Amino acid sequence: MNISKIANLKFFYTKTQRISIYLSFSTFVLFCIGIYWGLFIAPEDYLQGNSYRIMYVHVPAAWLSLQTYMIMAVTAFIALVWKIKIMEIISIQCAPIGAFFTIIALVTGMIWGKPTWGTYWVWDARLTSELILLFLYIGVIVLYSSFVDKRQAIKITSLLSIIGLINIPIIHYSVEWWNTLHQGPTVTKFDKPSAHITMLLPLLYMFIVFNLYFLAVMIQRIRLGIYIREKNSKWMEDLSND
Amino acid sequence: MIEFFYMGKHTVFVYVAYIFSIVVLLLGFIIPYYTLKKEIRLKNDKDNKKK
Repeated sequence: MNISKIANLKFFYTKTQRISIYLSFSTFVLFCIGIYWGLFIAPEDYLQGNSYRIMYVHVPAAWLSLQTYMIMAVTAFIALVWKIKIMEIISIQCAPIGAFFTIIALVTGMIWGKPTWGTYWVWDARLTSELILLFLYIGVIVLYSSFVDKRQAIKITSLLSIIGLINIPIIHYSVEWWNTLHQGPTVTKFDKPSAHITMLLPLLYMFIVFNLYFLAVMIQRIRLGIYIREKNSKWMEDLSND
Repeated sequence: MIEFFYMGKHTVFVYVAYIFSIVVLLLGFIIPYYTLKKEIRLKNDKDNKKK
């Protein structure tokens, strides 16, 4: 399929409705399997007991919060330089999805922190930088809604997204650069991961499922963005009359 | 049945984390879906009034 066709708003809007339904349904089924795997099949940890099972929602959500921000910043850059409409829509629609992932990562991290560290929150580098990420997402959403002229809004929010990109390596390397209560990398040490394969597999599986969820919601949100932007256009009128 | 779901002293923490995640993920999916439906309905109502 030609990439320029996907970037065409009419083509994307009309062709993705069915894909979105199938993708959402398969994500739901795969998510239920992942929840069961994480809660009841994965073995108990010798040190943390069952509380470590929170990892199966906490870690994929935290990864996706960073991944979504990177997608938002890259599409914002493309939108700013080449002014491609669909990139503007993708960039702005990434913000609420990323905010949801960050909220999940922060809250489940707090819940996991209580039995593990004895406290819900500490102002260490990893937790604070992740909280800043949430503020960046909220900042993008609020800034975009505060402008009446959406062309101007996309320019300003794109700049904010690109500047905020500096926070991503800070979040990732914070556990190595500073002394933090948050544990160091467990899974990304591919040569010798600290987690056993029976615990690692459901985590990687959940990461794939969270990515599918991201794709399903992203398609929904792009369709919404296209509709809001093009609802008075000729092709949308024709589509509504059919 | 209860024994199957029981996770020792951390039961509450584990389930609260999972339920919270599921609720937020569901919200993240439902909000754009219904917003699009609402936008289409509003546009149709407006068009019908014009006619």
